[in-house]
Amino acid sequence: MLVIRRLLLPILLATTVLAVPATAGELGESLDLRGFVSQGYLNTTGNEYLIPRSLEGTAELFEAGIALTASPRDGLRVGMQFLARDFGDQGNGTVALDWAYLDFRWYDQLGLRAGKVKLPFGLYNEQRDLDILRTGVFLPQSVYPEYLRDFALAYEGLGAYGNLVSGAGSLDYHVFGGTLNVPDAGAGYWKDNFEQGAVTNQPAIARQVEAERGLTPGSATATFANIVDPTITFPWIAGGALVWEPPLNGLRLGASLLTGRFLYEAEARYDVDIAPDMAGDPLGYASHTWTVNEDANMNHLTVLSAEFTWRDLLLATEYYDERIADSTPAGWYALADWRAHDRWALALTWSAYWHDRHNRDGSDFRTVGLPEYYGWQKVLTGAVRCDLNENWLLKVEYHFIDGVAQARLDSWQEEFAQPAARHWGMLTARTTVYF
Amino acid sequence: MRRRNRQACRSIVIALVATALLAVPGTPAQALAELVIIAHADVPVGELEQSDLERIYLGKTSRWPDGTRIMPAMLKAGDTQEEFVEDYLDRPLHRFATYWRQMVFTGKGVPPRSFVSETTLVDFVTATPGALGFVTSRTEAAGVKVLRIDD
Repeated sequence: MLVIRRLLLPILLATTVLAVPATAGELGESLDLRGFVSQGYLNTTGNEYLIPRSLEGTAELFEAGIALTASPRDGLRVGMQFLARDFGDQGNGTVALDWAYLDFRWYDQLGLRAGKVKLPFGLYNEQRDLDILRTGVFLPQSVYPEYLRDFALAYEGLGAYGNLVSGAGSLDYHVFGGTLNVPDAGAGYWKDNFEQGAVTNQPAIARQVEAERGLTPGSATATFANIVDPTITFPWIAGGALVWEPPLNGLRLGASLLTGRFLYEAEARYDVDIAPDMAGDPLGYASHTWTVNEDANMNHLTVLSAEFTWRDLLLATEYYDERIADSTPAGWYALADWRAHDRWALALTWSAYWHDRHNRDGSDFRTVGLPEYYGWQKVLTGAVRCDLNENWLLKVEYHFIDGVAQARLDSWQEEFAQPAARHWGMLTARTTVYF
Repeated sequence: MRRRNRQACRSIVIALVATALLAVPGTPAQALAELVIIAHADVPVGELEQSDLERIYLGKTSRWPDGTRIMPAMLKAGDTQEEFVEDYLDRPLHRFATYWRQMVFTGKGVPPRSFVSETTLVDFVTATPGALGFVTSRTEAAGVKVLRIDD
């Protein structure tokens, strides 16, 4: 897969360049260039969410993208998007190839896409970084968590797609196989999760050092220092999405599946202090490395979807269900979006996410001594969008949140000592210019 | 006397209604003209169902029955454009625009070519094999095929 990744851009560029001399006139007419620049602000009350320092308010919410699509020959399309993104400690404005692929469509019923292709997952995953397409700032986090955006944005591989029409309506399909590419496993969700585990593991590391050195129990204290060389690789992934439009005008029904395997490797470094008087150890200090090497099956990630549009009203609901190793979260949402005026749109969303779909009342957390609301996150979101003109929009939304299943938490020791706030909120605003 | 008053009232009402009708904004002669669906003369069909038209303008159907690529054309703005999208594609213009923004920014398609005037749109349809478009009935559209649209 690494070879595919290295060859991808040269192949795409070469194909475009080779196609130009033969069809220069047509190419000029079939080129499409679009772009956007978006700046946001996010502020939470009670708990941290999505971005570090969200409690203090942060403007580390920036995106700028430029997308180029060309149709150099009949049936062939080449497209790519470069994106600079700053989302807390992710991206930091670095320009990256967001998606890029060759698309050959023989028939309406069958086409092939190869390259880095937007992942069809649910009705809206392919447009998750395009806030110009929706009223809200974010998609509902119970199904499209922003902290997994790098994971879920695009697959690298080969996909087949098409559209089938019959008396039962129209069916869009897209099946694919390949890999996923998380550019920085040392940032965002992956870093937070790893650090939380590493800090929680501090007492165990101290006991391990004591056992290895034959020290008196309780003489060592381990403190997590840093992560070294974190990597996450996906040897393979596969999946597919179906969207059926039955003969009832405005209705779309969808089902999506993603499966595969991933490897997470990293080293956690700890500083270990040893009490000399208790242990008789002449050093009084040591460092310890904990190597994590996790090989996990993504048994399934699925979404079931329904959307109905009638004139200026859009209603949507989706259910998300996941099983990765022993993890079984789930979520759903219901959304109403109303284009009230040429310039104004309003959206209201109810969203719920559970840490474990088999334990929706959070009783497992209560059993270990934490509040039950660690097991869920239920959110009511109201959003307003104003299109100032055809190329400039402004939007504001507020989230009323109950539970902390998706919040950025401290180590479990700290959570036990001071549980997170149950009822909290998030205000976010965004302005985007696009062409 | 009462009858005369009643007649006077009726006259006033008629005058008010007539004034209101004449003063309704946004009903220029252009919007009242009938829309005509036109195609390149060699296009191998004489009629389309509305659902076919919808699928073509959404990029889901890309070829005529003889394999020629369909080249749909639109106007950049205006009442004719809005009327076409609302009546023939059965959706508000903003939904149509959002759909194509999504297709473009996800690299899944290029929107129909758009033209500033009906005359240039007709020129494009006349000269481009597989082209499809729409104009108001008052626009001169010689050299193209007029397609019948069934609901």
